[in-house]
Amino acid sequence: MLKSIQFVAILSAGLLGCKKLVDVPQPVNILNTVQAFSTDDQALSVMAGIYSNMINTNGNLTFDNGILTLLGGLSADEFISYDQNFNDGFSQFQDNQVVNNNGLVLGDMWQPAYSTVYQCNAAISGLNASTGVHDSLKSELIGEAEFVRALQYFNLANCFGGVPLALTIDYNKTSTLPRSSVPDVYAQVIIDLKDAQLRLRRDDSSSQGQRLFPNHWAATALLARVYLYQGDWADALAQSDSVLANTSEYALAGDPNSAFLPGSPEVIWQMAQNSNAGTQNAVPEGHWFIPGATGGRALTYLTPTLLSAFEAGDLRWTDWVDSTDYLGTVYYYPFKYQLGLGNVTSGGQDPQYYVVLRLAEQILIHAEAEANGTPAGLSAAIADLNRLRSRAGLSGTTATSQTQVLAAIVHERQIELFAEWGHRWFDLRRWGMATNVLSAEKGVTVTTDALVFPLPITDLTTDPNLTQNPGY
Amino acid sequence: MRLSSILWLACLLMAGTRGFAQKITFNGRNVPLQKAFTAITDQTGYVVFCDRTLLASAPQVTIAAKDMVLTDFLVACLKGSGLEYSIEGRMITIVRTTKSIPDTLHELEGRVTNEGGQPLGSANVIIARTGYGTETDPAGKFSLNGFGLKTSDVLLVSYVGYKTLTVPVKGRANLVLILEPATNELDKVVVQAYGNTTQRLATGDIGTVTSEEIARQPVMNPLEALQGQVPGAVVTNTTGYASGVIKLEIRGRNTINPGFPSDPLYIIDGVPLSVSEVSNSASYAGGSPGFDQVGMSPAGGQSPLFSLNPLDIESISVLKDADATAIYGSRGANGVVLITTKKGKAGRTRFDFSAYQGMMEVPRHYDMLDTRQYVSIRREALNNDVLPVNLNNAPDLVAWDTTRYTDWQRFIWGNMGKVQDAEASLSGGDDRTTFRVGANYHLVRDILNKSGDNVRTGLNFNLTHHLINERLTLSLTGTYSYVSINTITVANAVTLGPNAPAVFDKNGNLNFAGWEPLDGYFPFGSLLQPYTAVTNFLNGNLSVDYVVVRGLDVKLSLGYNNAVNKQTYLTPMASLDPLLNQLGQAQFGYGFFHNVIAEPQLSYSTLLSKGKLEALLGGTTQTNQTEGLTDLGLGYNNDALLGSISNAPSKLIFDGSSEYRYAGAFARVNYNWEDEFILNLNGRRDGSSKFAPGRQFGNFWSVGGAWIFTEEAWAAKALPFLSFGKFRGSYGLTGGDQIQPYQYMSKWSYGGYPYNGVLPLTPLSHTDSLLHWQVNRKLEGALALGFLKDRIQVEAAWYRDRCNDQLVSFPTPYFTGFNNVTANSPADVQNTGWEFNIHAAISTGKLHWNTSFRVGINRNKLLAYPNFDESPYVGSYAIGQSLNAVKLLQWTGINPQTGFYTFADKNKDGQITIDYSGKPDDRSWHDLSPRYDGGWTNTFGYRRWELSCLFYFRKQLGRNVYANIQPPGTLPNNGPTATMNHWSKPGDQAEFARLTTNPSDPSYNDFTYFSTGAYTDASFIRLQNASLSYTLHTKSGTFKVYAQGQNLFILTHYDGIDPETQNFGGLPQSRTLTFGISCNL
Repeated sequence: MLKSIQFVAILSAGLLGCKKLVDVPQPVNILNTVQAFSTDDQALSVMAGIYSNMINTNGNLTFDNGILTLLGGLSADEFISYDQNFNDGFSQFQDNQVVNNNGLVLGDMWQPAYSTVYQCNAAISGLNASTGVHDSLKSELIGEAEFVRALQYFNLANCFGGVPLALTIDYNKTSTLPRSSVPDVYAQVIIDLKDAQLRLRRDDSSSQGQRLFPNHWAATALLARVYLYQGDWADALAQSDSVLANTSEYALAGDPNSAFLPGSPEVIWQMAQNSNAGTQNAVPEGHWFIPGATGGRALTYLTPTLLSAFEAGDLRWTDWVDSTDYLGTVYYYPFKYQLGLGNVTSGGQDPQYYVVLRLAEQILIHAEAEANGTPAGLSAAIADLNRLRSRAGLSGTTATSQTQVLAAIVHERQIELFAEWGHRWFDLRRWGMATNVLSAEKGVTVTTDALVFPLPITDLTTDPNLTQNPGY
Repeated sequence: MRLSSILWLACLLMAGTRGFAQKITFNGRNVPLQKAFTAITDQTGYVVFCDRTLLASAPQVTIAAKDMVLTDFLVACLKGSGLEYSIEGRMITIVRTTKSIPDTLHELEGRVTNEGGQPLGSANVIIARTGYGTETDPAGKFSLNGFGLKTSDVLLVSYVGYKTLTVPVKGRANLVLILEPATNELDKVVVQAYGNTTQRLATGDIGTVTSEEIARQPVMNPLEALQGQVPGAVVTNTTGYASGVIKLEIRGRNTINPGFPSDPLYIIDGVPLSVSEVSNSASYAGGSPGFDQVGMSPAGGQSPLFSLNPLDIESISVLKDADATAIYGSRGANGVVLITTKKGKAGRTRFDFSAYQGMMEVPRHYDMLDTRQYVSIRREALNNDVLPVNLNNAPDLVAWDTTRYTDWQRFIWGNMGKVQDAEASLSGGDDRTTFRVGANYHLVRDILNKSGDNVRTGLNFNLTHHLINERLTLSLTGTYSYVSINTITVANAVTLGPNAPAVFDKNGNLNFAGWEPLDGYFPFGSLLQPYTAVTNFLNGNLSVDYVVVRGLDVKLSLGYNNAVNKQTYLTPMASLDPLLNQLGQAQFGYGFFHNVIAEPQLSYSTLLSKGKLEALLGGTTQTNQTEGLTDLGLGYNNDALLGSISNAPSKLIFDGSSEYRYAGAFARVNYNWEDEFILNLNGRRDGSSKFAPGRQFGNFWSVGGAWIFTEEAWAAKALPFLSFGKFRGSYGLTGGDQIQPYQYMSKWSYGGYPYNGVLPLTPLSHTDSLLHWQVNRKLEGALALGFLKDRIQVEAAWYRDRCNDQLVSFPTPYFTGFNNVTANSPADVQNTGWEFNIHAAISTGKLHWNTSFRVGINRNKLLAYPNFDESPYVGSYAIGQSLNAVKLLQWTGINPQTGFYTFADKNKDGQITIDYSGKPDDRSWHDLSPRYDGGWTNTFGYRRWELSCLFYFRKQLGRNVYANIQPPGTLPNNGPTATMNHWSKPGDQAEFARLTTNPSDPSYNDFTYFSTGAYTDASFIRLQNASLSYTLHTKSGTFKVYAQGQNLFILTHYDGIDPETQNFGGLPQSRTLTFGISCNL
């Protein structure tokens, strides 16, 4: 009897005392933060995770692989969504009447952007705390993470106005953040880009010249755009000058058709889609815009306004626009990326990558900064414009006065940068032209409230300190 | 081990066929006594010894006995003969009755067994006069020597689950006492945590469903049989799929978190059925996806209990209050469900067989617009929008035949489903060994037009053997089942335009081309995308119980369950739009589930003063491993190879795995003073691997007590109409750790698509390292009364459960990186309620009427939340309101001038806004939890006929069908016929707004969704089940034929098919009608 009591008592006491019974091994498929930054290879994998999440999104266009092109283009005067009858969210952008529970805002913009921000924050803090990653790589990767974070915040501010600035992964510190003002967000973007400029290498050796990772020049190019958006002409000029001066590295491609090919000297930074991901070896944007088969339907097509803006003989029309005859009507769609549903191959070579930054935009930034600067800058601006026009097979611009030159820049940006990263939408806004141009285009009054998108309801609900944009 | 089991079984089968019944059937008029004794020997195997002269002089006897207990039969035989009997072993000795019985001190020994001759150890043998007595030893033997027993004394012999036997000593020195199982509701065995009790003696709240109640319902999942049977346990079918998740919620919602299921702890034959959530698809509303931990099932999950055969279940106990659940410590927060499978009984070897077959169909249909009405609504909407009727705006009117009509409901689920079931079992045993082996087969063919079968085949076995003077008991119980599911995802086609083109073209291929004008929208691809799942499930328990000395048992219970689930979902090219040039896909999902549990226990029982003290000390260690693995094959250019992952041109693999360990020590002390005062204490210390080291352990306890006041002398006088009266109450703490494992750790994982050849490493979630136990405080009080010799029983219980420090998936804004973090929330949630249970059994000769009525009323409330205004819940909950309450705009109908929806402008700011704006007009709270629900069972027996019916009722508010439809007039959405009542011109008083196709039009108002206009009364009374049977008893066995029906009809004001599932357009629950036979030989 005593023995059996001892037996159970010992067993039970064992259960109480022995913590081993409730210790489990770490799951086989999971590393903790310290482990994730213990070697150079792992740190490189963390960065690969950031880029992969930006570009490979299983066929959906999201924040960094095309949604700005699509929704920016619909919101501006570039695109028409074919699906007029489905309340699929796209038509709300085209009508400049986005409803505050529009699923695209949360699912394809806000969430992926902030998910990338989180990964960047995690990379920066993980790298800073790491003892296993070599210092030179550590600094470079921190620079890349800062660059990507800056890109997210810059575009977030362009889409939504002021947004919460989450700069740490600690949710206790971020979950009740209010919105920061647009200048504050821009200020943080500039801080990140300037630090990234110092950390990043000045060549493309990290991807053997394929320009798949942001370098010093990518940070400089983005910084030029940030200053441009702020109307800081001097700084915009200085930064774009610095990129344009690097002629050994960057030059305009010989013709528009080759501007978006992998070896294009014009590309400053591009992302490589994985050819096993949802869009296979097509660039996600091409996958979206190009009809699936001959005689198929284009999900989104170009507006008559944009089509008529092309000058006769413009190579960009020939090279960058294509059409489909669907049930007797001809629809035009962007063709900067030439692989779509109909001609992709799974696991095949990528014939094109997704271009984020390219020299043509730097030339236009340079032109606009010059034109807004000293009167002497006008001729420089005209020279910039003519560089692009001559590449497009057009004669030089006839603009001479500042007003004419600025108008020519508006036109040139519309054509050169159409269907790219929502440039037209953001440009119309910063030029103060949006409400007039769009009201005329859409036939309804487009208010200034409609120029920023609504914040997603879920976050307004979970963060009581967050406020909605007016009009939503 | 395995060999010896087989040997045991062989012995058993031989022993069993010999059969020792303890009951006698005998008919004789004026026959010699010897003839009666021969019958005893023939029927029971007992040998009767009697002096010939005595026998010769004994008078003749007249007896009509049917299944009479041996001792009663002997008494009847010897009545008035001047003889008496004694029993030793299997030997009955007849002697002349001692003339006078001097009332002197007396010595007595005896043995207590059940009808099968199995000894009952630890039975109470109490001298009625003194209240003192003894307990039997493992062999059932007892001795009252030295207890001051007098010859005139009367003994009370009792054992849990048996009728108490009153035995006059009458000077006998040796007694064999046979206890019969209790037949009244109060004294039947009720399975409780780590043991048995009865409703009479229970201090906790335990609701029970018996095998008879289950057998009346032709259900495939045992949980369905609980509906309406246990007050406070709300069973909800989340889908119409046979294998789908069935949500069981006991006493209301404990968690503020919409992300975690509220499932109770399921324990099958002592083995917890734990599934760790590795799929991320669990939710409060949808429950746990169970065995589908890769998130592939069209049903949204696979209920683990689907693998269990309802007809193998002996009883289901639902443990509700602290007293009943605290011994499960950390896992008892949401209640505990104990499922006990059938065991063999000593006695004649029984062969049971049953089979039934039946049909299933959709009970009702939605009343939808016909083609003419649909076309008119579409034209009117386009006209209102000033849009031309062209290919772009209205392909359904331009490109499609506007005279064509398809009843999409019939197309999707118009099939007549089928149910088949066959069961056979062999059971029996003798005083040392009992066994049961059963096999079963069950098939449900869905009502879906394009889909296959749900089949379960299984084995259930149990073997119990006593050895070493009955001191050692070995018991092995097991269930094995194989489930195969073959179904498709049902297209939500109910709302399709009735003139939509055919689904298949002339060649029998999917008609993508015909639907092309609709921008390639074609909802029927899934018809050719088969889903199959097979699940192997094994549940086994081995327990070894050794009685060290009388009253002291050492027990070791070892349990194991294992499930392996394989799912396949194929997307052939034939199911994809050829215009999109897509390639085939195949998804293979695997789930592996292991639970191992070891529970050493020490129990002690003794009679202490006039009461019985029982103590239990034990320990638990459990390990659960759950793994999910998904192989995704992409880019198949040939449908013939789809089944092979190795033939996939590109592959993706996802896995999730977790190991969960759990250990605890528990103790229970129960003191029962003369069946009048009962005190029950539980304590448990638990550790769980789900928390960080240092926070793993928690303490839980409960105090319960009962006072059976009708045992008091005064009660018999003051309350003569009461045959039973009991107050009971309990208070205690239970806990919860129902979160995914590893939540306290930072987590990074490799996966996804490489970038420039480098495999990504990405962070997986926010991390809260301070996670700790959730605590539930449960308080309960109840009064149980019996009238008319307990023929009518009434119980009323009141409870209050409070849950604090809740483990939740705490919402965080998306801009923090993830939209939730698993953490402890300071929310204090209260559930209070009343539960009533009335049971009456009325019997007049040949007519029997059993009726029971149950109702549970629960009120849920968010009691407190510190700093609530800063919390993420401020927009979705309110302090003082139910967690299932929704905040709504007040819908005020259609403006007759504009045709727009209108809402009450509560803040009078001239516009309608909802919560997140800061100036909300949605101020009207409506609780969607059931106000009350319950069941009413009636069973009528007349001669060989039995009619039984169960009504299930629920009072609740629900989303109406109109809340889930697209605005009428939009492409290509058909609406209910009620939408014909829409606004057309100024002055119209209509139910639906002006038609539009434009989402920005004010009459296309999304606010309707958030208004009272989207809610309606969804109360119902359903004839859940009815069964009619005819039973024939013959010499060779009992035969029964029966008809059963499930979900027969429903009384409701709800517009739609099913106020329970409410999902408009989703697969509804079907109506089932079956016919069957059963026999036992």
